[in-house]
Amino acid sequence: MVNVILVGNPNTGKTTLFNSLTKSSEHVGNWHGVTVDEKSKIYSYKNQKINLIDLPGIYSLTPLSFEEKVAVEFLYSHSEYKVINICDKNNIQRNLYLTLGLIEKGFDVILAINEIDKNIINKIDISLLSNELGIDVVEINADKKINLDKLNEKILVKKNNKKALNYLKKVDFSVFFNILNGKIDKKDYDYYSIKLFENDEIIKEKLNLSQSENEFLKDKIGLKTIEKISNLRYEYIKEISNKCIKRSDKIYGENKLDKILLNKYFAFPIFLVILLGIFYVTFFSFGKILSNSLSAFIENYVGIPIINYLEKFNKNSWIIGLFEIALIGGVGSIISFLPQVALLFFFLSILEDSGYLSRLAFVFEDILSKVGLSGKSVYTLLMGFGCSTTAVMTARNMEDKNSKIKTVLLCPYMSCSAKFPIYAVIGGAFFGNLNIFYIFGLYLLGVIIAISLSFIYEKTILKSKDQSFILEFPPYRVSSIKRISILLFKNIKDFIVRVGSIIIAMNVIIWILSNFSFKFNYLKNVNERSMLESLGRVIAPIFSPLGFGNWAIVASLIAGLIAKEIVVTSIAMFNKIENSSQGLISSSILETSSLVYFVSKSSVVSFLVFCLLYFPCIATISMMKKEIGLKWTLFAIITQFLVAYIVSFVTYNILFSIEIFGFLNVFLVIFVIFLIILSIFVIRNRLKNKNICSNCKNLTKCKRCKK
Amino acid sequence: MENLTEIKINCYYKIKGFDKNLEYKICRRFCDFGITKGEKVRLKAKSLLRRVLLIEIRGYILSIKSSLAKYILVEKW
Repeated sequence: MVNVILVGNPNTGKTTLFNSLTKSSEHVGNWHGVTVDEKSKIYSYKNQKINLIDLPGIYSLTPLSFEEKVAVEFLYSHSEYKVINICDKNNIQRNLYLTLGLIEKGFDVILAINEIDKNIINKIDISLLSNELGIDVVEINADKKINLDKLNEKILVKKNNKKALNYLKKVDFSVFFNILNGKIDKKDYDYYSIKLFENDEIIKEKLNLSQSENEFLKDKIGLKTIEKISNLRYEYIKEISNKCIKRSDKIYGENKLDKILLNKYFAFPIFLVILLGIFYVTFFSFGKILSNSLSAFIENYVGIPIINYLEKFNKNSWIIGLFEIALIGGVGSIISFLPQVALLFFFLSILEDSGYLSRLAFVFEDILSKVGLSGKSVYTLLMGFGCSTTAVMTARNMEDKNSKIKTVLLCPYMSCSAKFPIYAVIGGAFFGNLNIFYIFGLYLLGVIIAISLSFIYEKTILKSKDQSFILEFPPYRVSSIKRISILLFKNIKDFIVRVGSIIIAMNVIIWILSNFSFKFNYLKNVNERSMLESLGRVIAPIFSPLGFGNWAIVASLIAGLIAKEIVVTSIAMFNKIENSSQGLISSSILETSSLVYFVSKSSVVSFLVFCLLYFPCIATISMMKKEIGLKWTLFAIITQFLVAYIVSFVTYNILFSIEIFGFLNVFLVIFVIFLIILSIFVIRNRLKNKNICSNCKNLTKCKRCKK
Repeated sequence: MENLTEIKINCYYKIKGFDKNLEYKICRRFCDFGITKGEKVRLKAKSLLRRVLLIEIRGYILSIKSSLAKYILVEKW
């Protein structure tokens, strides 16, 4: 078997090539760092097995962020593997920098020049380039699968005679021979010396240097040596570019659209309009029509026939109850949300492919760096609107541990697609057509709380280092129909599998718990409390201050820990909805005779806010544990519960007071409380400043009084 | 000598070198992105609070934090 590693700068199409070669459907996007860990798959070409490994993108063999570290460490520990170095044809001059690094390390490199965009900036003489670098060069189109056979041929050829590149001859490597002597193989001396000149931490760690050796290094290396090595590489790149590449004067990634989209004053409003547009189309106009049609279809062609069939049997048998309520009512009510969930992922992936996210990172860096995040967090947080579990993983593109933990902690506050059915069903019952504003308000609340928490974490427990925010702008691109259909298919499949496995299983469990007593009697025949009711009534009083101390509501919230959709399905079950219609659930929660009902708008809003903020779902919790460890995951769970409780409590009490005392009175009270807090702060600051002498007032550290 | 944050928008400048207080790892990252001595650079735009700059270098566009860009010293092309 031949082992091959895919290496390249971020966003050059590594995963696209991986998918094309191995016929997989791994996630790709027009953003730096979509792939955050290694993936491998075996495929065969001409009866030969090839094990292809896809790595996160790197700029050089000296990593900065977590995902780059994964890639570089993998490369170092598998130096005997063949390497496909994939380059973006239009930005090859910059991409070749990594190629040289790989050749220096002694990898058996094939350079795959990927043509991503139709507008060609560079014209390349492939055979000349191959001659100059002494490696195989293939021009491919990873997406359209052009020249992949040629690439496969090259993979199967073993190359032994490597050409020595002379551009580093001007550097005196002998300085470090004393340090390297005996520690590594002689043939690696040159490479280790280059890396020592660049002050590479990984190499220094590998060499396990003594204190005196470290002192020696400190003398020999500095900014000048780092610059020198890189200048030599770039000079060489320029030399071969002049020979092999014809470049037009177009600039990679430049677009007139940016004049508007990045405009100081329009950038934010445009982003908000785009987001609102996506929400409107997904949840209200087009999405709602699709969802209603699917709901009607399931009701008429699946639900009603099954119910009619079941009528023939004894109504008092528990099996019939389980079928009608847990499976048809519960599962049916959630499956009609499929078109909306799919639409949301559709829009998110179009955004991801477009190249707009890198622009957003530029626009949001201003605000986010103030609260200790980075513009790069925009990607993670936006993905959180889709699914927190996958979003948590993308936080690996942070450089600093604290920023990564912080981004992960904030992910679940972004309202994920699983929470939308709750808003639609419960909110829809009370707010009707105005529900769009409430739902958008909830999404916004999630974002505001995430940003405020980030600010608090930054000032207290998770102070982050200044992130070195340097990000390349990719060109704007339109997603291909093929990619979108693969993605839609994948999301629809995921959703159906989720409903078919975990949600059905939970529904059955909840149905049994809520229809059998501890003596295991079926409640339709006896008058006892169900197991869930007995338990729910113990916990329910905790939620009374939030306006929903009803045991059934509490039970549905607890069930929702497994997956947020279950909040809706369990409410459908408690209210004995035997049909898959969303409307029936909505109208049932308005009736006081139902098990789950809400008395006032204030308690509904409080419930929705609680649903938005309380615990992450099980899948997210396990992913969090993997990414940030058990301690921080527990911290996340506890803080989320506390935040949800406090925010719901405040919301409920303010809204409830408004219902009783009127808006103006409540507003006045809040205003007065705000004024009191403000004046306390002002007075405290005044008192603080009194102790500082007037000369030192403007200094951060008082020199004269040494305070 | 000026640094990258102080220059005029849409004029070409030449990179003279880095401030001596620049961290090694950031210097390496600059090199990875092709920000090296003698290279032609143009400031395209600044963000609202001027914390991020948009520059053109080696034929492509890069957004870079001002707190890092101030270490890049330039002079008129």
